[in-house]
Amino acid sequence: MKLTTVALLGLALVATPVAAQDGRSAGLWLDIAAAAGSARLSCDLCESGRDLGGSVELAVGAWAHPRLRVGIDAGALTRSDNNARETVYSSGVVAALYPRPASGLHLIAGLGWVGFRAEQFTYDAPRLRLGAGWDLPLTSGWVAGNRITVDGASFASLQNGGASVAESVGLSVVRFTLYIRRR
Amino acid sequence: MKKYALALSLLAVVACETATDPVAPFLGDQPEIVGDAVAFGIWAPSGPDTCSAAIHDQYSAVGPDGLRYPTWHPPVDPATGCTFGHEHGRDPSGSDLFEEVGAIPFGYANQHLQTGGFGAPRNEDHVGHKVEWENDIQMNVGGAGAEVLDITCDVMTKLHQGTHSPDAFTNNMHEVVYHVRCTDGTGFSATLLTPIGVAGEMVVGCDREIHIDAGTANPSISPDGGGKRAIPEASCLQQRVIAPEDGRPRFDSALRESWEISASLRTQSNKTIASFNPYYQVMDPSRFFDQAADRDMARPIDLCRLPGLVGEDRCEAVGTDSISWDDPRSPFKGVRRFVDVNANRVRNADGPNIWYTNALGRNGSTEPFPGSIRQWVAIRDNSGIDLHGGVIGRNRDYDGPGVRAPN
Repeated sequence: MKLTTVALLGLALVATPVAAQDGRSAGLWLDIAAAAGSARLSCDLCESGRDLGGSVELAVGAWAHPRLRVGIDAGALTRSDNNARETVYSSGVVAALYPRPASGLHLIAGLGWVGFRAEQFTYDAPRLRLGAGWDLPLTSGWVAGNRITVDGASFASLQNGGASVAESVGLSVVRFTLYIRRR
Repeated sequence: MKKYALALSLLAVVACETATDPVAPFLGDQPEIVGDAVAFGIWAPSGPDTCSAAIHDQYSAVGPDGLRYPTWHPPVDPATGCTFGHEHGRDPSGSDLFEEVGAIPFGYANQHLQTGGFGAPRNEDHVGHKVEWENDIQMNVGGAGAEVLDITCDVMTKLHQGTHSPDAFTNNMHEVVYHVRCTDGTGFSATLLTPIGVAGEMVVGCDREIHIDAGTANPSISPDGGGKRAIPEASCLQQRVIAPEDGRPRFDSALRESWEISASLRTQSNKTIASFNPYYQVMDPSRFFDQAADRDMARPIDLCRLPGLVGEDRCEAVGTDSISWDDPRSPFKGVRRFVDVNANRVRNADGPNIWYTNALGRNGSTEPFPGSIRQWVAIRDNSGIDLHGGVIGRNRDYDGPGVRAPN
């Protein structure tokens, strides 16, 4: 985590003048989001349902280029079913690429960790995030927007109380997110 | 030989040709018939039964010891239409496990009890053998597992559960056969005489806190076991049928009988390789414990003659008739049964599949020994999953033409 922070600060220092040229905010950005989403474990024994839950996400980073925003993010998606609470935690690095200078459309990619928790059941794996979003300017310093992201993870075991109950388990998380961001 | 014996023979041929099949306890190379087990041929018709003993004995299964055992049959012989007066529960041929495990020889563990070193015999009557099964049972997984995992099991079981005589008041050793195969790889086939609760002691069905010293168990050296035999007692009938607080008699509530097993297969070093704890429940036993009665046993049908109970609740079917406890018209003949599957634990990660135990499921070895019973256990440790099942047979009723107590 320390390395990531140092890298981001470094990127911020480099990125500031570049970002400023394009009218996008210089320096750090901060993103706060709420989402509706669902998670699903995939394995021979896994329950196949995909139920809706609520999610919050926080991300912070810097502009590496007027069209490229990088940062770190963390979030949690949770739902309760039959008195059992399932929560999917995630964190990692994220990048957003704006293919057209004047457009709020951006493509999202990220790498990191995802952890599933449901009472004694645990699952931890590296995850890949892909998605797309759309910024809508609110003020000169703030944008709002929405995005859809899909997290995918695989090749990890599902544990219950420390004992493996399934191998090569996959996890997918789909989120539809509304956010505000300090540019 | 009737269709079950025939099916067993065919299965034997199949089993010989498919070496990769899991080897079930009663499949594999079928030996020649070398004789009859103690349990074979002990039933004889009485009262209104119309089948002969010879017709009854056509329903047989050959055990791996080469002995002929009685097995499941319908209450009515389809070939002649005669009635046996008793039933053995659900036809096992409908189970998804039947092709793999074959017909169940009734009394196999009883047969091998003494040969395996136990100091006394324990034989059980014929009518008490009750089969129950269900395919694709949606299992519950402990904690949040029910929301995370989707596991189904096929279960076929047989318990000797006599609910017509005083046997179970004191005797805690009963033969259980239990086959389970689950989608997560959990599975075992166990045949043993399992001690259910304390020998010589029963638990009052309507108040499990009350333990009754009912006498000396037969055999007297019966070991104590886990679980309990919750059996209706006169006070249950008094409180819930004869003088209920709200004036409404409830026979089912008073008579419900639950044999709660805590069975396991263990190695010579006493390591448990498989364990299970199903509850076998009967809603309509034909007897209850009453210390004031002859042999401590009274008959619920006799309550239907009491002035306030004529035509009430389960006595409705009797009306004003005076019928005996063993009349097919009695509503109390042990035909309404179900099984709570409960936990299925396997701790056999290092294998092998085949274990030989004594008739009590103990002293498990990888090599056969005199009196040993061949058990099959999946090579698996399912300790990460608290795998337990729901209820099977809840809405089934095994009444049939001619069926009556003793059943």
